Amino acid sequence: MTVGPLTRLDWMLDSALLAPIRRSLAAFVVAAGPWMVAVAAIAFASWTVEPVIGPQAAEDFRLAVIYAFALAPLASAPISTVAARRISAGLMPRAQVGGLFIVAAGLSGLAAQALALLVAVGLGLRDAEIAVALVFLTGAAAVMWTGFALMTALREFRFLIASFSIGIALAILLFLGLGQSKPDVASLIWFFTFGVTACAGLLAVRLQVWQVWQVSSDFGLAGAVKMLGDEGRRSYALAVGAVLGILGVWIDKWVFWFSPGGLESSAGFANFPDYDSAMFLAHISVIPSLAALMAFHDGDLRAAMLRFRSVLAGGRTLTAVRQAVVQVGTSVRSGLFMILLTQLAITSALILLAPVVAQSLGMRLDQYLTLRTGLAGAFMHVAFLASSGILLLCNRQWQFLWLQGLFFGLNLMLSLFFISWLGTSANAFLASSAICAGIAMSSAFAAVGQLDYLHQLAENDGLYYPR
Amino acid sequence: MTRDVTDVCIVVEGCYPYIAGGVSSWLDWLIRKQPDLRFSVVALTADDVPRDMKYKLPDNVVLFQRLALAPKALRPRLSGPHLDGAAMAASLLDLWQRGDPKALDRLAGLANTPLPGGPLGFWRAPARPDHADLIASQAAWTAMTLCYEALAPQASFSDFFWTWRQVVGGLFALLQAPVPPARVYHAISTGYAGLYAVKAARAEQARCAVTEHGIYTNERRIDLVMADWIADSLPRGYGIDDPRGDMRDIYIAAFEGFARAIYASADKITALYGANQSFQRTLGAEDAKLQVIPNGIELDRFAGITLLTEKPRPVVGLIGRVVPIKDIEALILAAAEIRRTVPDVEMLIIGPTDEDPAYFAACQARVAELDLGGTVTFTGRMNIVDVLPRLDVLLLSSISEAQPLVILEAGAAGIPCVATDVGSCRDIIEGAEGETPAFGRGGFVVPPMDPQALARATVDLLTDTALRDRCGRAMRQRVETHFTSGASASQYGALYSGLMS
Repeated sequence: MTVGPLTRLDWMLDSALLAPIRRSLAAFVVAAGPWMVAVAAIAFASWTVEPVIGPQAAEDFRLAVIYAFALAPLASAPISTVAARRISAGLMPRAQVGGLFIVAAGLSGLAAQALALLVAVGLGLRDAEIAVALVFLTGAAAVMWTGFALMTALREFRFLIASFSIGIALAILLFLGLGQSKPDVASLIWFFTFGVTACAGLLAVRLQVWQVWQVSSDFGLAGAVKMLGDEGRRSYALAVGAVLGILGVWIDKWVFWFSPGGLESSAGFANFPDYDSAMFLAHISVIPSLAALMAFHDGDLRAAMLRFRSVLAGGRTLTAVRQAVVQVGTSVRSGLFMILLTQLAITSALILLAPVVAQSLGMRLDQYLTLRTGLAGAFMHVAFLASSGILLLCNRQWQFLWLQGLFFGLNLMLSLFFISWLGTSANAFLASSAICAGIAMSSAFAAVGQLDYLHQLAENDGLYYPR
Repeated sequence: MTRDVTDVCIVVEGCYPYIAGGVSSWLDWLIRKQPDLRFSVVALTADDVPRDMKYKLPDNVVLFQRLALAPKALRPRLSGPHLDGAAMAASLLDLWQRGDPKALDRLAGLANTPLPGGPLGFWRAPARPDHADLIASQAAWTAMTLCYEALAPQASFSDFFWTWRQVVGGLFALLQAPVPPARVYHAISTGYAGLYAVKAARAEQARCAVTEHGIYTNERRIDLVMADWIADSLPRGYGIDDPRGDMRDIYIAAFEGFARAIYASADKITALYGANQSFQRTLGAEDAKLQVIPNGIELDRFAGITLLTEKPRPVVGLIGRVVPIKDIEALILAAAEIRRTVPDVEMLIIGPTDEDPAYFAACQARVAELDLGGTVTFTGRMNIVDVLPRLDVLLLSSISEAQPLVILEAGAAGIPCVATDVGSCRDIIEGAEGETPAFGRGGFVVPPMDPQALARATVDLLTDTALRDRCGRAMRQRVETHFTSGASASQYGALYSGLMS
């Protein structure tokens, strides 16, 4: 039997030497994929078309992408989280996922478009073509985000990476091919939308969405809508928590955008470049930790949880169950410790290097100070995210919701407070992240310590009817 | 507002008015036979799934209440009351292991006393815990794990989890259920019905009686030993003295503990026949509380029955539900044996077949397997007065019975009987020890689960007309003397008036 070059490559990448690299890359893409699309687009736009279309138009393009990628998850997170939960809980056959994807992605896309339209009208964007392109890009991004969530739940990381790579390559090719013909901002957004749509389309192909229309299928779109609705009623705390978590990350930026010092781009996008650029770098600094967290959840932690569930299902004694709980706790503590320690080293190095970074990017002193505080805040925020993930592992949905709400509220109030007291600073983000990280971490360790109680009784959704 | 206090509150589990026959028929009779008393009925069911009533409630039932032992499970509220899990466990274990009636009082107090909220319910006024707080809160988990350590530390925890939820969930459901005011609470078994009656009598400062047709703990033991839905998690092999507790032991211990608490708290404990009192004594029932009240039947219903003599085929009948405890399979095996000697025999199985469809299907398969299609017929439910004249012999193959009405009814019609040696069958068929006057044998009593013995006794009766006539006469005389409806009803009337006074 002969094998093709792709199969050979697959074998090579599965070798003992290259497999860890492949897993890390996969985790990197899964954890930060959509944002990498945005970063790459912005970088390529700056590199290829800014000399042609001018800095103001390039700025409008960059802001349109950022707006789309800020709004899309707000619409898709509650829906995709609920849909992905249904899949990862093993509650639906693979053949039905396509139908679920259509419904979830359709709802996400429509909700994202509605949100983008509201924002475009609210901001009073001057160029209708840009506004329309923004609406479609936001919708496409929401569909892609939903696809990412479902593919992650299915653990189909290889195809996820492939579709992501093809989508981004298409967008780049369009930039390179058509970028020199002096396109307008709306066209650039459409190029980018095309790449994102291609990625979402490939995900749809992989999920075999056509199965839902097959005559033999007993699971039509109505079934998918009902399933999503039922799961939504069960997991609405999780969905609202996900939205609040995303709002929490953006709220300090929005406070700055709409503060007296906020600027407006030529197309009408509100922004605050001094704060945005520093915080953008700060957030990028934790992508390695997000990838490591992803790999940890899918590796050691997953194995520990499987062992715990196997002990329970195997009819073992309470002593054995508690030993398995201790092992999960050990796995959580050692995993988080390693990830956060590594991130602490990266963050410390970046804080020490901040003067150099600031100088090379032409940042002013206040931006440099914001960058340092933002790096520390991003570290704390990763600790908060990691602990929130552990709470979800223990199905502590209400605690998760409460913490995300606290983070959102603290970041909003402290941002309003600090902006009037200190001007530009990332103190609000740092303080709210640190406070919530502390609470979330202690809650997460407490939850893991009583995993037997939570898993079997308190958070066992299968036991309860809705109140 | 004045409270409508009834004379007697009947508490019944898993039968009247939702299941036909047996105890349900008797209960319907009991209430109708006390027309001067006003009754309330509390029917305990496993869950709250809607059920059809198989009986029209008599006019003197003024209140009917249904209580589901496993209500829909809800998630405990975050602001739920602060409960003491260790105290809950201690009381549960006192009831479970020792049948301490004071533990039942403590648990009733725990379930019904308003308590201040927990850490997240500090703002709430003290409130009674709800069912979810009692079986699904952190305190409930503490209680559950402490019970596990005490009862079955080597068994599967996952299995114990479900066992605990079922046993304790039912207990708290009844302890929290509303109580219709009454002067006497009469439970028709121990178990959950008995606990409810005891709890209600204490709450209303009323009197409590327990009547057992079969011995509830024995019947549950049979059910549990035979149950295939309970997994055995301990590899015991042939070690029958293995002291480690597994799920079947835990269930049995719970029902025995309940019975001890009920016997200790009840004012009167009645049985249908003396042999059953030994079981009640074993679980702590005091002699002073014990009383025998046999079942009786309406002789008038059977006075006009004339047995058919000119029939194409000899007919043997079993009247009862098609369920495992009636051991219908033994009757089918016996039918094959009987047919060898009496080839034209007709065996009728008369009774509802819908209670256990799987068992009915197994019985039908056995009939087909033994090629008994022309011999054995499942007639479904029939009017007993219409069916008795056709019978030459009445047969009862049960594994467990108390005092089966069908034997009394067959006896009133002068039909000889063959029955297994369960309940009071021997007393009815052969006469109690020292019977005066001695009426003689009314048929045969054979060991349970012995189709050969059933067949031999039936063949003896079918092939000897003189013996059959003699036995039929003896049965009729014994029933007319000792087992009339009027005598039984007046004894229950006296029991109620004694308790109410």
